[in-house]
Amino acid sequence: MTRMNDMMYLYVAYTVIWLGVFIYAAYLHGRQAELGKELELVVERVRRIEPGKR
Amino acid sequence: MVGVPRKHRLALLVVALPVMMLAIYMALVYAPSPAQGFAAPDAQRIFHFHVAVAWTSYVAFIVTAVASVVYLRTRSEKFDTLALSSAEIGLMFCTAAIITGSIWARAEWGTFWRWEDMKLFMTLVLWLVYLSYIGVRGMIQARETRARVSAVFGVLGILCVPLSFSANRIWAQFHPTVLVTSTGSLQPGMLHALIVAVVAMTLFYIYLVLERVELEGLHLRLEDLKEEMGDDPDE
Amino acid sequence: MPSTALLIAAKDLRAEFRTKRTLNSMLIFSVMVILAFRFAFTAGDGGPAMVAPSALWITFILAGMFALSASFSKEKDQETFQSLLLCPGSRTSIYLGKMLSSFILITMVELFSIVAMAVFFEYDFGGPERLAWLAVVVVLGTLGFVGVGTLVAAMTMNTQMREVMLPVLVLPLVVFTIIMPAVTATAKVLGEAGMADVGAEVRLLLTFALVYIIAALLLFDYVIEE
Repeated sequence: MTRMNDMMYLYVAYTVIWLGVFIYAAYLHGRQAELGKELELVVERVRRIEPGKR
Repeated sequence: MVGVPRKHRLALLVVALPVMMLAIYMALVYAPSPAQGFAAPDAQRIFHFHVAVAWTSYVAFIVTAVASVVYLRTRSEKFDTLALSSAEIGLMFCTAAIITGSIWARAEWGTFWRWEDMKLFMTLVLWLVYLSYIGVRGMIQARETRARVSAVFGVLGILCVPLSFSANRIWAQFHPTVLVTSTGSLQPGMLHALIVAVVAMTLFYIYLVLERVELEGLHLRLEDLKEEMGDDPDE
Repeated sequence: MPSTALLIAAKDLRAEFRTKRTLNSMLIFSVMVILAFRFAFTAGDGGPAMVAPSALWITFILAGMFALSASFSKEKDQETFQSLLLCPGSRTSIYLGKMLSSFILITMVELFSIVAMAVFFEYDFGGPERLAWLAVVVVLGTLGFVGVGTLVAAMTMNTQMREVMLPVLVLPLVVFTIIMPAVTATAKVLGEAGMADVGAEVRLLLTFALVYIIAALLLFDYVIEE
């Protein structure tokens, strides 16, 4: 086991953790924005169909 | 609307980030290199975050079980949402623990996996249990049934957490045991780095759960509205 | 055990023995699995004592899935589950009854599989001691498996693709807690060099059987509420 190789494993392991967490957080934000927009659309539609509601 | 306001979630992230920076610094620089007995002394620094993510995944699964019990008692949907969110993030952290563990094993043992080691085996089983938990949720359409069934499974699944946690302590095979033993040989610097890493990961876990709960809340509200309208607005 | 549970188990078994549909498919299936193992592993692979324990437990668990899934899906398909719920006594007697009837069916299949294994693998037990310990291991392992399996079968009764969901949910729960100690113990009992001590595995199997049954008794009420 060379010293350089050893460092590589450390680097890869840390990258996996942070990339994983970052991608998951980004996914959550993306989906939230998406659903938020869709929710607005639906609320708008409900309002048009049934004026006075909501 | 369930969940925590956006402002508070952001505030938590602002607190968690510097703690995480400190944890990374401590794990990479502050903690001493292992004195001896390691084939790969640099890769040993994976340990701090490997334990932190593994620990956080246990915490996440325990939260799922507790939320499941509370759901079964109260039938309040927000606890089902919390159970799902915590299980999903716990599964993600468990995946990270298995991957980082494998990478360390490759550096230290020269192989990614040892099937005969109970700790590795049991943690894979734990991972499978929560994969099934997420899977069974996708199979049930009726919301109340889905919440009830997955709550029962969430309680059953928790039996695997103590087994995974204690496997290396009972069988003492290949997986190292440095904590919660009488012969624990952790150097003080390493212990400090580990504690900070665990705290930082737990803060991140709380942040992610809050975001996931928010997302599920949006999802359920949308489902409600669509049902109310009686048709599918996607068409 | 409450008498309602015994009545439910007796009713299930009577219905089963009238048609023998589940039992027959389980028996045919178990012969097939054991034969498949017999063909897949030939003489050079270390003899029957190497293959037999895993062959037996794979047969038990997979054949057992039929019994577990049938015990609730029958009630669902014939729309008799509502009347079952009207039985006097607590809901847990439904669990105990279903567990007992599945346990008896699976034990019959296991007995048959062990005989089939001995025949096809030309295994000589050489005395009652091995058979007695094998019986202890098989009964305890089956108890734990049926204990958690009956609960999950009731859970998945109302889901889509319940035939798939049952093994997907049960297998991860039992693979470490039941299958592994059971296979290790069976290997020790059937070992070529004579019997080794299986006390640790038997204790483990007993513990998990108790834990699962107690957990199921506590949780079953929540599962079947309509």
